Amino acid sequence: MSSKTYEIRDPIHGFVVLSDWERDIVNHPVFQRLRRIRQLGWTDMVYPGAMHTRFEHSLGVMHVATRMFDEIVTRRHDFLKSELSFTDGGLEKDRTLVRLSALLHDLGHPPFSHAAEELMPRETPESKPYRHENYSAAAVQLLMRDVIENHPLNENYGLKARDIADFLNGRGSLGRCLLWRDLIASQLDADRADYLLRDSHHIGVAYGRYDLSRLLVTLTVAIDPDTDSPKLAVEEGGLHAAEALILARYLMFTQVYFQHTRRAYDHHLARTVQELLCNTETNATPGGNGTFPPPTDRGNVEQYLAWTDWRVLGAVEAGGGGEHGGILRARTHHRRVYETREIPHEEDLTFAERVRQALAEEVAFVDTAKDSFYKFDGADIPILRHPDTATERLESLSRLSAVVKGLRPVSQTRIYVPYGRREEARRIVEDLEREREALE
Amino acid sequence: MMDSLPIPWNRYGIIAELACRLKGASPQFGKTALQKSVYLLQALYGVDCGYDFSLYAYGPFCSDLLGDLDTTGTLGGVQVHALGWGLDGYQIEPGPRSDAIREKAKAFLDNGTVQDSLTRLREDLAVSRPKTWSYDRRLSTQTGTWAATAINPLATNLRVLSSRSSRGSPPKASMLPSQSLRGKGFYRLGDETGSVSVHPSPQRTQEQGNRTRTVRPRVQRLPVRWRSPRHVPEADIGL
Repeated sequence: MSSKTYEIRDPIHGFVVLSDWERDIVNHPVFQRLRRIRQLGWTDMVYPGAMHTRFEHSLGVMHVATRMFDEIVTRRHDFLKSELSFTDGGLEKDRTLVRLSALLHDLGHPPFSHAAEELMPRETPESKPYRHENYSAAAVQLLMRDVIENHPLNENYGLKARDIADFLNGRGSLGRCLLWRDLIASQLDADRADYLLRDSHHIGVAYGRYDLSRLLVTLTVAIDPDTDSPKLAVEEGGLHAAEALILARYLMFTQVYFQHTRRAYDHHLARTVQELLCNTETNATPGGNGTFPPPTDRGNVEQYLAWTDWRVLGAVEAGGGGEHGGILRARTHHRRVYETREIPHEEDLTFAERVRQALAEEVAFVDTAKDSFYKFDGADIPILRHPDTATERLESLSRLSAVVKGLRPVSQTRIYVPYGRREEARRIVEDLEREREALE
Repeated sequence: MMDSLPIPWNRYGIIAELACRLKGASPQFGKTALQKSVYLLQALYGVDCGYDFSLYAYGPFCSDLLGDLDTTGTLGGVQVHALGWGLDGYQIEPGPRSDAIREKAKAFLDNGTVQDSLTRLREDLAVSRPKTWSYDRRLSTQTGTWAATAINPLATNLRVLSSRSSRGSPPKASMLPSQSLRGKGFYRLGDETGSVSVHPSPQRTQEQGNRTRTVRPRVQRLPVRWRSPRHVPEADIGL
């Protein structure tokens, strides 16, 4: 069946093209909800341009994942068919699976994206909290099955909602299709490729920019000798483009996502939503200890998805959210009075403990902004050296790039006090710092 | 409000301590061995390091532990070197501030259970390795060497068994595999009384025409063909 296509204007990629089927999915209320989930929470309190949503990001991820897929298939078509037994029909179906999975990968974000993720419940007290990916997969299976499975354009593919959920969860039942999962879940995936450029564009910084075009034309697939399985890789001509993406992420985290005022608003927002979840006036079915309902059945997922930025903002505007809702309304966020270096030394941490003790009851909260900007070992980005020659082989990016190898994890601890106590607290910290200098 | 900062000195301390205890005895003490040994400390010996492991392509894996290793390195508690010589992998050694970092975790490390567990980990997993592997010859020519390749299957098997049992409950000695793994390239477990030791499966010979070749014991690996290394998505911050 031929399909009409539709173009959506995008500030990063020009046009994002949708099929009839994809347009129906985008029009589904569960996807439209993403228009009401901001990409960067309350980052606009620092960077006023940060008002974009998960809706446009999801379209962008689908666009980039498709370009990645197409580049790889074009470049390695013979290899995929002869060495890995792909067929043209199979590749076409995989392309559709990649597009839909990329489009739907963020369905399960809570209000204001990551800020409220700490309110995710656990299946058991010992297990890890659910993650937004779990809600995305549940929403696909429980609420979008009809629009995914019963479209005429799906007759050729027979895709199931479960296939997409399994792809998002990384379950092995999909077999060889999982080769493509790195396009939406790896250190070089379409998700990062899109959000770095998009966030930079909207907030007006250049930290997240890198050479996407170069990266795209150097993506490839090769056999990993360690596991004897195919793996997505970058030809060595794209090594510096891959480096640039890693560095872009490092700079965006240190300059934007870990910015101290932004972190304070994440704290206030999480406490506000927690209060709203506990309060029967704002939540008809309050869960235990102010957590979201688990993604275990249709009713729970519907309740969860009913939480959007609009609902939270409406409740806060109406006077809800308790103490922290009031702080959001008045913009009297807690103030940072001390922070360690981004990569602290032992004496920094020891001094931070002294500050914490000296401030005692003045302290409102302590935050540690922590991330490793490059995952080594199994997640290392494979670089294909000497492609199309007898000496072709895979090597890890971290072994070839001194820049990547030298990236240290950031673990910056900050101490915040209430707005009204900031002057007194700063005096206490200054006294301690003078004492320390005198001792040195 | 908490009285102290949430700085995980105990975690940094145990990493520094393992690097000290396994220096020399284990030239192969690298990132994979660290993952498996901390997993075994928690799962088998009951040392609460607070890590939450997922099953990964190479066995139990915890991204927080990898992050803490990086931080311990930054603090000078350990030094992490790439192996070089064309070999993939890393070697973890005590760092210049190892004593200071372990001092921060003194109360935890001096605990009798932790001390006993660290000793048992070192002793129980001492294995006799054949000298025929070229990889081993480069790194260790001694028998009785503690090796990541021996600890991997044990930790992996425990993690698999743990996930098959009730969610989150620690594995029991009776759950440890023995007979079922024999002859399948797995390492066997010496006894099932709770004191665990591992031994490499004996070498076998195989007839090939008029030649006989020695088949070396194989390191157990999960069936990863067509499987993503991230069956359980790790907590990457995806913004």
